Amino acid sequence: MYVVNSKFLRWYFFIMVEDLLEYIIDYGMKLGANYVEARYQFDVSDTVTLQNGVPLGCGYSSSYGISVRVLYKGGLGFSATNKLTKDVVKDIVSEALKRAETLSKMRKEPITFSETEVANVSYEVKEKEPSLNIPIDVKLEELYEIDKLVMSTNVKIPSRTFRVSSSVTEKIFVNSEGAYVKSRIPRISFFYMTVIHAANKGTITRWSSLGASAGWEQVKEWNPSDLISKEVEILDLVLDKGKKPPKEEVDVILGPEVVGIIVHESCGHPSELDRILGREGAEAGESYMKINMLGERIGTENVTIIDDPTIPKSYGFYLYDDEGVRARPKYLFKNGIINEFLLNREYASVLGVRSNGSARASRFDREPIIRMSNTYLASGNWNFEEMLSEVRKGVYIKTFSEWNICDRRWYQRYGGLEAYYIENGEIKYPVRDPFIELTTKGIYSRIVAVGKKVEFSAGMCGKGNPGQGVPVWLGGPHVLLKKVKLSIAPGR
Amino acid sequence: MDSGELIELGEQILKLAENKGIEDLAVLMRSSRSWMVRFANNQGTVIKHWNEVGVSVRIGYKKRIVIGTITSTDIKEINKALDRFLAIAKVSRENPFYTPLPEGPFKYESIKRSYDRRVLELVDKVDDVVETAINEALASGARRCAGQLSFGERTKVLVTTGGVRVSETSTAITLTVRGFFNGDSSGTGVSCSRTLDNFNPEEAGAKAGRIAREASRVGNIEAGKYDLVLDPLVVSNLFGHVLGAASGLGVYMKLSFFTNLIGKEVSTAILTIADGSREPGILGTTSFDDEGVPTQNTVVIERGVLKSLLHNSMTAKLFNVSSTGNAGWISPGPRVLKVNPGDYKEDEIFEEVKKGIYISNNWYTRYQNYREGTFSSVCRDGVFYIEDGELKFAVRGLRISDNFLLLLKNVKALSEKLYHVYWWESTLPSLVPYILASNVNITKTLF
Repeated sequence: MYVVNSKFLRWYFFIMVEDLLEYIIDYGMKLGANYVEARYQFDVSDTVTLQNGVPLGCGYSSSYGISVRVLYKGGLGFSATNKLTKDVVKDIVSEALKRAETLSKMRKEPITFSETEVANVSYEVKEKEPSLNIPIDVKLEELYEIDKLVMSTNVKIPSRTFRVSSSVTEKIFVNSEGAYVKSRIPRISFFYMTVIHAANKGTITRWSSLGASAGWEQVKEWNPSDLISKEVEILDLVLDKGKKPPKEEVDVILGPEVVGIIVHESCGHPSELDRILGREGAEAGESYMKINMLGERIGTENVTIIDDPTIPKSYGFYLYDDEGVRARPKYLFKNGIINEFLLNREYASVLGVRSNGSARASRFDREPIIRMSNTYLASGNWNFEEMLSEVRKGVYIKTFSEWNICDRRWYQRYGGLEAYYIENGEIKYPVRDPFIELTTKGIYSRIVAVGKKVEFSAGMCGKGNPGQGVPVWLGGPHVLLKKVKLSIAPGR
Repeated sequence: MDSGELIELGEQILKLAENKGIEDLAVLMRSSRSWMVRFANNQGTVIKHWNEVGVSVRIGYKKRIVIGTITSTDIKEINKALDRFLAIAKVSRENPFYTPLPEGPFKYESIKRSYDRRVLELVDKVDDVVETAINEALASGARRCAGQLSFGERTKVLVTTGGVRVSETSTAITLTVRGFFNGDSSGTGVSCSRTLDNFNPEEAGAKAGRIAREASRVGNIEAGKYDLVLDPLVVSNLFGHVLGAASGLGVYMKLSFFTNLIGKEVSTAILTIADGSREPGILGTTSFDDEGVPTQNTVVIERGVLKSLLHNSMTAKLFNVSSTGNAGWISPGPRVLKVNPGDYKEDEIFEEVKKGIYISNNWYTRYQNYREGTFSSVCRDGVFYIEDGELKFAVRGLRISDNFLLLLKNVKALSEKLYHVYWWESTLPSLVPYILASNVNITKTLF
């Protein structure tokens, strides 16, 4: 752990790390590697949790180390350590080469990386109030305040959890092509879970996350106590007054939170070229997409989905990926057409194109693999009221609870939480647990109207083996779907 | 670092902490070397290696708890980290449930069959092992395979102010093979063990290939209630959620679907589920928990009745019982899912089904209502319609969409043979049978 407040020690530490990284590249090339990259990553975080008003404990975590990736004889080897001595580092370089050589015997064709511009850059996100410098008691006070306000509503809440996490990630990436990328990204996130109870009506469970690449100032902007107090009152109403959703086919308006999870699961993940070409086949799965599907229609003209790591303050923010490739927005679906895949250098090489900067690693000891960043449905030109007025019979699903999708990203389901019945353009009453269970094409080809305002929620996206959770935003505006048959929860 | 060096480091940390006025301290250290081979389309995609060490501490200071983790074993850095953790503790607030670390020393009995040095020698044979698994899958019907082979050694050391000084070293090996007949027709087989004796790549490959091929004969059924034969992979995933819901903290905080159900009948009488922390040769086992309490096998559901929760010292005090050795410094939790065997041969379980579904694998289990246990889980790989005990055809786009408390009440039969399973989506190591559950709600994706 390095000392955050000591500038001299930090400077000295980085000099030592950069020396080691340089040594890794030299030593790897000397051993005969065709390509060597080394990444130092430092993650520091603190977490404060209040559960049912009890401060169970605070967490502080600091991890740093170095990973090495090599291409050698057509094989790919990866090795990582947090023991930053020259002997151990030397050992992990030889280990990466040995394993790459073994892998080369297990391959029919060699692994290659696509060409890319050689980056030489340092960048950082400058937060207003560095969150790790905010004392724990201030953070706890914030959670107590939320708890007080939420419990002062007339809603019965037998269980509630509030958690705030602050982190900083620093990386230095170098490779044998001469790239150097140094970055520092602070992040803050807020998680909450509430169980709302009403006599003879059962319970509703709500959880959600907010996240940003920012400092403590972001918490004030989120105003979680106001957000959650209002939400529990609304959900209490849904629990008390909610009726069954209609059985016949109806129109459905989905809120930004629901749209965000849909585009993440059924457009973002299946656009990852490593999935499409089978690399994640035994774990996170493959994809309904094939490489010859670029240019194929998947939805209506209204559907444009973008993955963009460069959105300022976003939770999935970065400017250069973990292969040193400059990041840019990727138009995955454009006006309903499959337009672009998410690529790293290995899989771009399979297509004979350049990487679009989608390689991310969650920790120092994880290999960079193809990931999403901030994935969202682009805005249209409809007001919410205009959408409502289009609906004769329908349901508005504002938020969701349960969701899942098959590992080819085709069969999916989303369970509505805050939801309402609509009749002749007016919201009439709350609806309990309406479910959408449709295919990917089924959803995107039903979208007839897209709202003007994009909103984001935060998530930790999982993929890879060993698993890697990376921060992402998921978002979109309200959308209107035509002719949807809803299902209901078991036992209702 | 070996266990002696880590214990010495732990002692040094205790001394530093004592000088700083930290009353209650546990230091948990882990040192490991491990490898992973990943493969897809019948060829390797990457080989990875790790050489790591980590230190975690649980500080108790005036009834405040701080959990700190660092990846350095440099005592100067650890000293600075302790200052930081203590500063956090000083401005934190009292935890009204605060319970000091248990006073040792304790007697520990090591877990049998948890170490095999031959596992480490696999590093020079990984291509042979993977090739064996792939060839078996291809011979059994798959056209291509993806998967992973992982193995390694880990030393875990715990030193506490309660007088605990303990270490253990274990090995582990896991293999996942997923065979594909075509994109939609797939099957998964796994093999996992702490020793090479029980490691069987041929069997994992053969199962993956056989299910993949059989899954290509596709038919159609409607959504509705069905009798389900759950493969051990599915049992591991779903009943892992059941065992997780028995965490003392989740129940105390009224988050769990087992809230207020201790001592009550929660399943059919044929079901007995335990945390098998001491099952010989099984992944996830350990002889001591994070507070230094010796582990035990804890029966959670005994012949249908919710008999015990899983506890650390804090939750044990809240429930006025003894710790079950399942710490977790904040939250207790399971390590190994063990479902007791039944008296059915596997064929007999299938023969019991007039109209039902065999689900060979699942993933993405999520809750509509965590407190009530209402969930859905996506069927994965081969899913087969059964008529009069025979697999008729594969079906697609299905989900188990039900409630855990209802599912438990519908368990009708268990196989006499148990399987050791663990994979990417079922991360709670399990020793489980095939299970027949009746009248389970199945939903189906519409276009």
